[in-house]
Amino acid sequence: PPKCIYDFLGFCCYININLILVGEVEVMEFGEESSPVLAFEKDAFELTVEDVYDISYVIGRDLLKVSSKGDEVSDLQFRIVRVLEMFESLVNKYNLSVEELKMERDNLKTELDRIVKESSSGQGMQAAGPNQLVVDLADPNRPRFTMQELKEVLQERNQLKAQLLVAQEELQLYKSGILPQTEPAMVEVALDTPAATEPITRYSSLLTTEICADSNNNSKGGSKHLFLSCTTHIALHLRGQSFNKI
Amino acid sequence: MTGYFSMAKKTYDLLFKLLLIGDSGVGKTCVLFRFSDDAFNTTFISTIGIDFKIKTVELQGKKIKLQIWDTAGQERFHTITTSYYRGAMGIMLVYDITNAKSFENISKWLRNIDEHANEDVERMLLGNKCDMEDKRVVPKAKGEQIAREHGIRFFETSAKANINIEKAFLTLAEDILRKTPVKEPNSENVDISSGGGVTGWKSKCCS
Repeated sequence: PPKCIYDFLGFCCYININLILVGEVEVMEFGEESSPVLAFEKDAFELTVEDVYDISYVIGRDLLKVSSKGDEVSDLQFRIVRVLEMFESLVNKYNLSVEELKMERDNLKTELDRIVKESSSGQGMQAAGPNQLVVDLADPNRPRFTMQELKEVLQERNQLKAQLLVAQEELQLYKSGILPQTEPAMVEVALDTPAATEPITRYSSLLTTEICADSNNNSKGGSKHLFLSCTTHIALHLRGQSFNKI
Repeated sequence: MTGYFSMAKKTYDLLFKLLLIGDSGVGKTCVLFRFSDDAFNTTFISTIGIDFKIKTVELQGKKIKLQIWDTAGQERFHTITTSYYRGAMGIMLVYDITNAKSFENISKWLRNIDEHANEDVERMLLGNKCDMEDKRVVPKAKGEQIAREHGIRFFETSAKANINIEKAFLTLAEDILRKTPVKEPNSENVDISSGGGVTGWKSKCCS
């Protein structure tokens, strides 16, 4: 098969037309029904450069038949060569462009797949700054409370724990009969935060049910004392002001 | 207040507040659990923020109630835990002899003490997990050396094997007791508020 558009020029040289093109001239013979003609039947957008060479071969061969009739045909031959050159460039360029676009499309597709996968699997740190954390609202274990809230809850927990320990200790002494009749034992709870009023109120009322309460309230230097006495004297010493409720 | 309570008998003579600090996972909670409940638990549950336990001991004929605060080692609880330094009379800094990083961080913890605790706080260094000799990465001599440099006591302990735990707490309590002026106990309270109201201590050592 022909390797360039100038293949047919071999015939031109052969019939003595003024041609400057030498070198890659090839003389080749094809039968009338051989494949180069099929290139004419192809869809324009499916043409390859090889098809262009086939076309140029067939045109050259046909021109050979015509040129024997007069010199005026040689001008036409040069123009045809020029058109074929342009045709070759266009087909070449077209095929290259299609190839480039296909590659570009594939690249973008893989890139898109990668991004979609990333954003669905990881929580995606793309929007967050270096010191920020992206919180997934669907995560049941996501952080919800502030440090201050945690601090307050822990304080309350420890406060209640302290009161429980005091009550347990008292109960232990009470049960074991260690508590002397003459020397009353005292338990003291100091609470600095106003929030402690509630549990202590409950605690003292709990005690009054078991112990016949004889409470006398003393005010001394801004602090109030509640004194419960019976077999056991339990003094709840409250530093703070919010004890007036009882 | 003093007059009112001095006539009452109390279940203890003195209240000492201690604090445990150190990297996460060195065994602070286990050390405390061994001392308070004489038990050991292998499951690791990270302490949330701050917790405490109470243990009454007898030293020199005095009943001393130890209120021991256990802090979370994790950095995220830093603001919560440091607010408890101020009320402490004794601080135990714990590292793990099988964890080099926890030893390297000692200086960081000592800086925290300088920044947040009382100036006269008793400090003590503990190298925990000393039963795991095969995994040791911090030689005992290194612990002794850093303790000497900072003028603090040092023990290698094991909460698991019950080594030196009671000794460490009692020694720390004794050191605090030595500094405590003999005085009729009065306002020792179970003070569970953070930092602030250090009853009995400040007034004692400063008056």
